Amino acid sequence: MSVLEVEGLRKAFRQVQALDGLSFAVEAGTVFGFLGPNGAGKTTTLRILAGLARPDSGSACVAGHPAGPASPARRLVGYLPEEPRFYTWMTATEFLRDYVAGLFGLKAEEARRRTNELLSLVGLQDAARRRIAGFSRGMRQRLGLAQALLNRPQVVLLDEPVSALDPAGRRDMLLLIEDLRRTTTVLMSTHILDDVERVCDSVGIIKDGRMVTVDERQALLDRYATPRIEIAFRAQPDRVAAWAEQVRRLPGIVSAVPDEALVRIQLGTDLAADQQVLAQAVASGMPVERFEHGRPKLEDVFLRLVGQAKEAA
Amino acid sequence: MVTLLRKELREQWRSNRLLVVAAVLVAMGILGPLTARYMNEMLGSIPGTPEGLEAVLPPPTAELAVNELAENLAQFGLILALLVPMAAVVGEKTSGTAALTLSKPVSRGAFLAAKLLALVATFGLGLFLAVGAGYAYTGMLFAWLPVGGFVQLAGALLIYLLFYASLALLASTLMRSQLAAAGLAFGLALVLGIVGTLPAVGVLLPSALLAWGRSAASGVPSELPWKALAAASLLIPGLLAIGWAALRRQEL
Repeated sequence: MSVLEVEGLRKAFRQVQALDGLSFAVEAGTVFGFLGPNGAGKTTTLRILAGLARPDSGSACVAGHPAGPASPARRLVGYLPEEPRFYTWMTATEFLRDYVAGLFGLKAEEARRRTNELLSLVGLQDAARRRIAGFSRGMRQRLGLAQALLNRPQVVLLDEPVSALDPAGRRDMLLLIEDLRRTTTVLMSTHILDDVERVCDSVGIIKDGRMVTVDERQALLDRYATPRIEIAFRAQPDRVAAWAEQVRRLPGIVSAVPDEALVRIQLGTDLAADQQVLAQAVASGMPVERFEHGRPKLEDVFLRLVGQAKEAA
Repeated sequence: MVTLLRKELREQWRSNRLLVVAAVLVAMGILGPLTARYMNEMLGSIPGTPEGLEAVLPPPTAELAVNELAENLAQFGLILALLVPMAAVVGEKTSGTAALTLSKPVSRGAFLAAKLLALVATFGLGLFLAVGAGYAYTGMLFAWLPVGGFVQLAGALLIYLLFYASLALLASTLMRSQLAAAGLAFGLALVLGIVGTLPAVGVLLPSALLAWGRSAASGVPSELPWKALAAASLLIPGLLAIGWAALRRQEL
């Protein structure tokens, strides 16, 4: 069952067409990765779903309610902007318990309990009584996630939730997001492909306000990602580059890119081509240090699809 | 709405706005009777003051003290009423806190109304303390006048300042920067000041209430300017409604 439905969404800012007939749906209880380059229209879509902006045409529904500035859908949504801003004179507890819980009409006891739960979940229990003014960007991002979850939303909209975090903070945040699918549906916008690969069940790739493709993550990888080989030689880079040039001309090879003593080779649909490559490597006379099949990556899918969309445009 | 109002009041306190408004108004409230009482003596003690100047200055009376009090509070209160709400909405829009709040189930009307009510509380408390201080100093330095008249003066000043605070709140809702909001608010206040010199318009503006409040505090009852009171009762919520209509159309 789809809990988020976007149909033919269009939105222009003066001369710039931010959304150009965007359509997609998100199944309940999944983490949906909303992937696209900067300026693709991800934030605009999330702002429309959060009721902060209106589309020029098309519709965006949350659990059957049209999204908008006065929509009941706002009760069902938790929203974390890319750079969440707070009343910095409040403490974290005041912000969650007295303010956000109050806006959702939670009773005092429930507000207190939920605040404690969430501060502990995002690892801010020790900073509960500190003013937000003294929080780091990472702490603010975690407090932002806590406020987005306070009302036990049916849908959580996360706009680049890990972009401001250090590696450890990023790992913790991704674990939290991964866990959320048990209780809610997550729409996470990002341009960091590794994060999508790690936590998302399905992926939508957006470019210039249009959905290029949308599918389950594994299905996308199976459909679009092509096999890769990496070969590392113990030889001079110019000899390696010459060898890469030879390999590039073989049938079934899409590309062969040298990088010092390493060559990255993209195979076509003929999977047996790797045997030819291995034979060529041995025949070259250069000692082979490593010969490795690369795992298909979402990055390949992304670059291929976004590249195609660019060419089509 | 209660949550929003509580947040606004707490912000007025934590940001020291309440303290600053109260301190400035109380200082002006005390200064009015003090200058009325000691101005002549002070001028007389300054070497080189032209002879005979004291004679042309009005003699210190309770009525002069009330006039000084009302003028000080109206002038400095007006500046505060234009400055304090200047960032109320535009500041939240540019910082991003408005987006965080309005993505929750909160009406934009309640968002604005809470801000206006917090201004009522801030200026109400400030004027209560300032007029109270002015009453006490007038009593100690001149004569104890009826308290009821000072209550009327405080009420007239509150309506007057709230009108301009509503104007500044509207400017803050319409504009995209604090500077532009301040410019619009001061510009509108200036236009009203000029237009208000026309008798037909002047009787409708909240400033007409000040003369009534001043008379009442001096112990000389005068007729309540109903037209100005009615106009203010319509204009203050009217300005809020215009702001609400504008904010509803805005994207955050």
